[in-house]
Amino acid sequence: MSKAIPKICIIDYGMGNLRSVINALEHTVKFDVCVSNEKKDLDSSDILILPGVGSFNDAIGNLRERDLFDKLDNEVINRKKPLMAICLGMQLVMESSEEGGLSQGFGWIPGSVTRFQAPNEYRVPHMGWDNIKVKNRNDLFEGIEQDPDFYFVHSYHVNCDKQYVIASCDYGYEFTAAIQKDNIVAFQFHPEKSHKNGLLLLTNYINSIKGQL
Amino acid sequence: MLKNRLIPVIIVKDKLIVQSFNFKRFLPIGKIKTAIEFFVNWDVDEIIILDIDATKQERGPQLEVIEWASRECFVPLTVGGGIRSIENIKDVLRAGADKISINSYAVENPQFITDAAIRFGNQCITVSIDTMKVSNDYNVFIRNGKIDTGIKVSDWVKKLERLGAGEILINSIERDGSREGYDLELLNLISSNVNIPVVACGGVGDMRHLASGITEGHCQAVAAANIFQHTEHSTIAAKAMMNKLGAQVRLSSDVKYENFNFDHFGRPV
Repeated sequence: MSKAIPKICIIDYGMGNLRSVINALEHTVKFDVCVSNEKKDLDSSDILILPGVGSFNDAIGNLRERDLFDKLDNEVINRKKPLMAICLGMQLVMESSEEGGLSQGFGWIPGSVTRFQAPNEYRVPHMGWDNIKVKNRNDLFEGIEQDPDFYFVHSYHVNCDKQYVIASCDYGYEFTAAIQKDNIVAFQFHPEKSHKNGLLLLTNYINSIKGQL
Repeated sequence: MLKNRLIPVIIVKDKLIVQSFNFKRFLPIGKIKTAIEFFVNWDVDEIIILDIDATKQERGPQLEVIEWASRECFVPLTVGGGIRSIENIKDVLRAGADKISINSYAVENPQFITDAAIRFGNQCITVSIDTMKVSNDYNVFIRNGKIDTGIKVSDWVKKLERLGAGEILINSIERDGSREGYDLELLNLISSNVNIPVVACGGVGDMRHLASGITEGHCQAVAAANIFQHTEHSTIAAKAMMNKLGAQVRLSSDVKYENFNFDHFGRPV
């Protein structure tokens, strides 16, 4: 039986501006939202959102400190709960990152995170609005224009097999902008800060999950 | 490709938006929330809010202002004024800011830039610089342009990049409120000395000036305050003009002014 209003849990692990994500979600869909670092909320939610800005190491450290690393792993892998990861959140989904020495991520999607190696005229961080190329026009991008602009701000990016890549972007070379595998969707850009395109993407995502609940 | 950004700066004094003239005279013009709602729908790429009273009054950022300002702000929001601790940054981000801007305190305590960048990531830390030519060099000024630190701006920006700043917001004190256009010599000096994004600010009096910050000043983003505050659709007109003059911008508004000409004030006609 489908539930009318999904419960979304934005995972609060001390990394970044959760308010932006809340503001955007409040604007897009009717739902129950919680911002939490408590296991019971992760348990009872239909959708998990893993946001994040900051450095990879701190993020993993904070998750472990709050005893959320294994809990999240269980929710996503064993319970197959839908997860949307944003920016640093997307990077955490991978096996490892070279940021701050080599660090281990969740490893839910095979691949690594490396620093931009673009030619000199490309400044790092990659900061601002850039257009993505959607590789797989599924429900997520319904109603969104061709080559849509989204807001990026990052110095590292994900490298993974192209079977998982749903959108790419070009900054000196092509890099991964969005990935999907089973119940996991992740964006390098910030939908919550990408005005119309971003709000529509968030709405599409929630609607696609609602249909499955 | 990565677009050149257009950023309105909302200068706040006593919780009202003001226009600034050479950092000396301030004309109150309206409410912050109204301005943000308009700007977001007028195709701006980011918004900067600078609270120019905070350092002077020795107080921290006004969190309730940021909280309601961010509610309808679906583009990145940078907040500056009164940030002097990691705790301040945490509070400001929690209230809804995406980036923070530091000015005087970066000079007083450079190590803070590094600490903040490690904690929140480089991309979160914008350093704002007020500068003016003293004899033949541009010097860094602090405390709303009142104190000359004697530091050369070209040395300062290189140091800031090493310390971990993610972006530079460069403001010319002499051009502030002058409507003469950006100081292109200054912009080139900054953009050629660092490899992080540079945002131009100070002196825009005509929408054509915005494009010059990109095409001649070689900055990655252009900011202005006063010019956007009095004209309907001002930022959309600005983007149409930038596009026409060869600066690649994001055009997402339903109104685009693609086939219009612009009058002396940059208004579409």
